[in-house]
Amino acid sequence: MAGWVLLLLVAAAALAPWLAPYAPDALDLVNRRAMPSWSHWFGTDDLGRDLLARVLFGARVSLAVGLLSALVSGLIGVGLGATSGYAGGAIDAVLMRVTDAALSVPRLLVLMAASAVLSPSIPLLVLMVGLVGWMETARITRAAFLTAREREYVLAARASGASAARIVVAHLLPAAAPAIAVAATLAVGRGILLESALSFFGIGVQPPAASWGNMLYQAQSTMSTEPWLALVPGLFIFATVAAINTLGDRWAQPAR
Amino acid sequence: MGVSLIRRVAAAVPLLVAISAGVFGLLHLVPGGPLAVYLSNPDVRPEDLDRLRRALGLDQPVWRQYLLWLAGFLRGDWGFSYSDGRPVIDRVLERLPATAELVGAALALAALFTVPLGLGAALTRGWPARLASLASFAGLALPVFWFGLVLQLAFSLGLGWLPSSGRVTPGIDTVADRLLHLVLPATMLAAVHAAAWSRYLRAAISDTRRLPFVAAARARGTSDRTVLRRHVLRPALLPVVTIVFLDAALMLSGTVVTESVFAWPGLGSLFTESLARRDYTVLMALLMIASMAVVVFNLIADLVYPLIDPRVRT
Repeated sequence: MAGWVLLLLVAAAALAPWLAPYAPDALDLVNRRAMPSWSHWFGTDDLGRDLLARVLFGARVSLAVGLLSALVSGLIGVGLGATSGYAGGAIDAVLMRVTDAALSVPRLLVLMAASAVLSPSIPLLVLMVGLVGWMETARITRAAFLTAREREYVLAARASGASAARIVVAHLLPAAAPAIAVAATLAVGRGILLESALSFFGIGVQPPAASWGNMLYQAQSTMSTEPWLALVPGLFIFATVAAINTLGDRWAQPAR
Repeated sequence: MGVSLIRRVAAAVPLLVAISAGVFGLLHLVPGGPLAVYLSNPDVRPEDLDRLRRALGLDQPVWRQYLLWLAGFLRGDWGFSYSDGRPVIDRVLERLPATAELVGAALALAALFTVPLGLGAALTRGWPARLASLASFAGLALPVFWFGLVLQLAFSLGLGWLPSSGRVTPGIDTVADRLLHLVLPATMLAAVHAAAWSRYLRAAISDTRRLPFVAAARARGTSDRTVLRRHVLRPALLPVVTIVFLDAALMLSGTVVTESVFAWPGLGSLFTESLARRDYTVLMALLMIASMAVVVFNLIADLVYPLIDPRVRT
């Protein structure tokens, strides 16, 4: 079911311009703060913008930031973890100390400080969220490499003169792939949550662009009169992250 | 024990220095630097800006500024707040009790949620187990700030049972009033951690139950209750205790979100306020406290573990 939920969300985000009943930034000053109804399924906000349209367009931003930041942290994490696990020795020790150091940094706070001073564009935001999320992937990749390195088929490959690059690409990475996939999946969920937290503080994705987080930021002040504005985007974040985590859990099962 | 303590503390020092240099660099290398807010202010003349820059030491190279800051930080001289001119350490200390109260209450609540959820998921069958698993699973996917808004919406704006913000009602400062104010923010801060901890507890219990010594105890005719208490729960709780220590430090940064939603006057709101005013000296101090908390609690977890688990004593 989780897979279907995700597929539906991705499809809805991709088809947003065709699915959305209104433009996401179309003002309807007569119908401001309208309750959910047949013409506006999720109601409208304080400028009369249709919430359904904004949720659909916000999905593009939120999902893209989640996926791309996971890609960034995946590339860094797999690169460092693979180097560490394959090389061993001093290189491994140094890289793992760096990973420990990065894990002690309070990432939400540093990210908040960085976005407040840099006011990042969306691509920069993706980079920043990715830069604080590689540590878990690096550790998991390293652990998978350490076990795979001692397997007989790797010894056999090494004995028959395979190059280091070939051993890593053809033998170690495929063995580590399931673990990396789980780590990457969880990183997508974490990226979506981090982006929404930053936008919730008003320092992530900037209006007029909609993201689920900045919709919550705008809804916070009118929560007592228009609670749906705060409920709907949060439910979407929740459902998306829950679906992603379910997939991660399911893929992690055979590995255990 | 003594030697390993010294070695571990010695290893933590370079880590903290590296983190502080990174954070300092991040804050000071941005275009315009700490005084960027004044650049666009027509009331501030360029010569005033220069004088300010000299007075704050911002005309020095960044590495020198960092060394000066580091030397001051170690002496307990954390500089002066850019926004109100008071010593940073005073501003931090006056906010500390509120945050300590919140984190303490959240830790207690999280432990309170964890035990029934973890035990329920591991030890029952059918719908109670599924419900407990589902609750902890949902907790992990919750956007925390949204969960806070929902709590606020339901219990204070909707039902009117609990206050929606602040630490006390002005004029009614009683213990009961303070406790009422604490319920929602502490629940919000506790939820994610309780969800994670109960999953660890469930996994630890089901792993431990499969071990030979549990089968042996059962074969000796030990009652189910005793097997559970002495042979399963005791070893299963050990890894969870470590995680509780590690998470206590993370809760400190979690207060930024919680305190913002519930207008709780602690370190978390000090951080958001300083961020809005570009109060770099206060930000730097708070970031260092949060990093130090992680390193120190890691250290404590490492040191406590041998005390509660004799198997790793070397």
